[in-house]
Amino acid sequence: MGIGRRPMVGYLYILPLLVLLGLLSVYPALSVLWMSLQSIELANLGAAEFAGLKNYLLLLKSTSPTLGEALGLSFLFVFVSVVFHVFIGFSLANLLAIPWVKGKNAWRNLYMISWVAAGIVIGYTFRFFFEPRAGVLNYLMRLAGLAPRSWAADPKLAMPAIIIVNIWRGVPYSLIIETAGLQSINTELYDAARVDGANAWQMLMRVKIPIVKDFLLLDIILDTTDTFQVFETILAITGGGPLHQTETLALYMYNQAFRYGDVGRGSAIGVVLLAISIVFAVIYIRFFRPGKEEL
Amino acid sequence: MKKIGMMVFVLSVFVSFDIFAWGGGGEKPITLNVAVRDYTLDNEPPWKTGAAAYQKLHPNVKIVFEGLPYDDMRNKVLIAVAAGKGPDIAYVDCIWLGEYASNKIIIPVTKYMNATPALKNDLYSPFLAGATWKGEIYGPWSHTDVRTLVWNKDMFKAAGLDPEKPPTTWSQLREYAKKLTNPSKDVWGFGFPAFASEGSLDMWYPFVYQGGKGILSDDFTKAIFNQPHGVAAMQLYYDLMWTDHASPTDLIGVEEGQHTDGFDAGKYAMIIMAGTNKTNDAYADLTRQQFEARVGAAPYPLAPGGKVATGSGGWIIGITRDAKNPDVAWDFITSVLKTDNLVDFVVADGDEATYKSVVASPKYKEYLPQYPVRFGLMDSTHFRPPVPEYLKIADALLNAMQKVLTQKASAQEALNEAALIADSLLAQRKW
Repeated sequence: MGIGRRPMVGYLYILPLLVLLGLLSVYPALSVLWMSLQSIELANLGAAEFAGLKNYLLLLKSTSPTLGEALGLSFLFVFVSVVFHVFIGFSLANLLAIPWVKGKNAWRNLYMISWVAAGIVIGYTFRFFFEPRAGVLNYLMRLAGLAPRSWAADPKLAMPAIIIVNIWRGVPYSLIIETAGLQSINTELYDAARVDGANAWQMLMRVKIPIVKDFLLLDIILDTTDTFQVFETILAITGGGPLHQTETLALYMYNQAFRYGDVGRGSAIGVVLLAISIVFAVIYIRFFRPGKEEL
Repeated sequence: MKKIGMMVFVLSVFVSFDIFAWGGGGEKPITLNVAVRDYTLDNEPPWKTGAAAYQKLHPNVKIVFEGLPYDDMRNKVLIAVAAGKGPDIAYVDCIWLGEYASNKIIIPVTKYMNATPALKNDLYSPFLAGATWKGEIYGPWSHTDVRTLVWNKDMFKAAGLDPEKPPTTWSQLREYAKKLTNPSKDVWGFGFPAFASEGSLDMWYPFVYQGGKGILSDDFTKAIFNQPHGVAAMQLYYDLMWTDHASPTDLIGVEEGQHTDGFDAGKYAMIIMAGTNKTNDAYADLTRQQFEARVGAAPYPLAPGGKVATGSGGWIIGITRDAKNPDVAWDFITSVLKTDNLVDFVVADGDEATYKSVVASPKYKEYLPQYPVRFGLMDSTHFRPPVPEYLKIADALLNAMQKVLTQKASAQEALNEAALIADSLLAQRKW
């Protein structure tokens, strides 16, 4: 008798994974939800009091930054980062798929350095990179005859600066997913397209993109949820400044919970982030639900 | 929710399952768990030598150290104490005092201090006050770093200024800074940190204290930094940057530490410095005398009609509420704080002392650069308000500083706005 006739046995096999998932994902999510309904401080974790929606109301009333400002900055940060991640990642994946390109694995490994490095390390590295007096970037700009800029100090430049760092950091992730997508294409399709007279552009638009579109979508969704949570790099480069112009929702949460010790309000911000992630998860599930056309 | 989920998970597990334990002491043998800043364990003194000496006399006491970086020093201890598994002894940054004391993370040690007059009387009086919250003393000090104006003597000479005569007033500071500035070479007369971190305010506060008043009212219930003494201090920064063009406009991107690097690299002729930069790489090969020939230190230039004031940070040694044997913990602390041991520590680590006996020791005098200046400031030092709300208030003040320095608001407007936030926070106080 197979497992198909004894479904409980199947569940037993996945039980360890379910327990682990519950411990690592469900429990923290429920905990953060519960803590968001409490008046709870880092210095007084044992004396939490139920506060209802107080933390959410305080969040709506917050002024420095407002919830709307932090959300707006987050969406800007995420949108621009993800667009460039996917575009550059897909472009690099195509370049590395060209048959005559040598050392493909070496290139891929090289790209991965920025992905595997800790965000805080990257943040501090770029903080010195952007430093106005002794920073490498301004040094190079002076060599090139350009005027040095105040990368982390100028309210207009700080957000672009951290987005550039985040783009550099996140491209390898897209590269890996897009590479997997391109490798899933049967090469006979290329041959057939060439026989039909397709040029490189038509090959890209009518063969590659239609086939890898699910990979692109997966990349966009996972990258979006991941980028919403980036805070350590921003913390190191700008600290959320100047004038809170780089204080995204994730950094706002970190500051409230761990810098100011207001765990209740930090949790409320965490719930907002969780809700955003759930929205993207729902989109993901809708597009990838069982029964959908497979590659 | 990978990162956020993990952060919450770690927090939750620490609280729920109590696995974040320093162990806790039994009856006998006694174990003392001691959480200190990581760098204080880099040298033998004070902790390792102190423990070795103590264990010779008390072989039943086992001492376990944990060295923690700055953020963990607060977060890890608070979480562990909430779980009832905190260390017996923990370093407390003086700005956390109110938060720790009002939440009973650490216990008052007034009775111990009173029973140890030699130690209590050895502390400079501002430091004793800096370890006091609502009439109770919460710990003796480990070490500090007094803020001074430092200047590059070679740059003074090059600008035609007397390298042995630093500015002593605000107007002189502005005048000297202008003379020392050469934007075409990216060289600036005065550098200060204005990055979005509390250290930026820390360098600025002594300019405020010179007005004879502080940041908050004496009872810590109201902001007073928006009064004339605070507005004038903020206006000074604005004038240096925008009126005199003697400080670069990009200082908002420069954190404490980076401005020190800029000074060491000859980009700023004068800065405010916490402690001595003698230990920086730029001066590693210099003797104290050679260093003093290149770098001068002086009290902050004075506001019109102002009085000498400086600021200090540093670490208080607290006994947590989880300490099973507070008497033993105190006994160990006093053993570690013996003068010779402390002298060896501050000299090896490049710190400054808070005890008169250490400051008076020949070895310390020989070690500490610009000794007369630093010694002379010990009684004029101030501390940041130790209230639990301080870090939130500092956030509002930082925003005000950045608004002024980006010309989004006048000093008065920006400080008034920050004061409203501070007053609102203080009105909700629970202590």
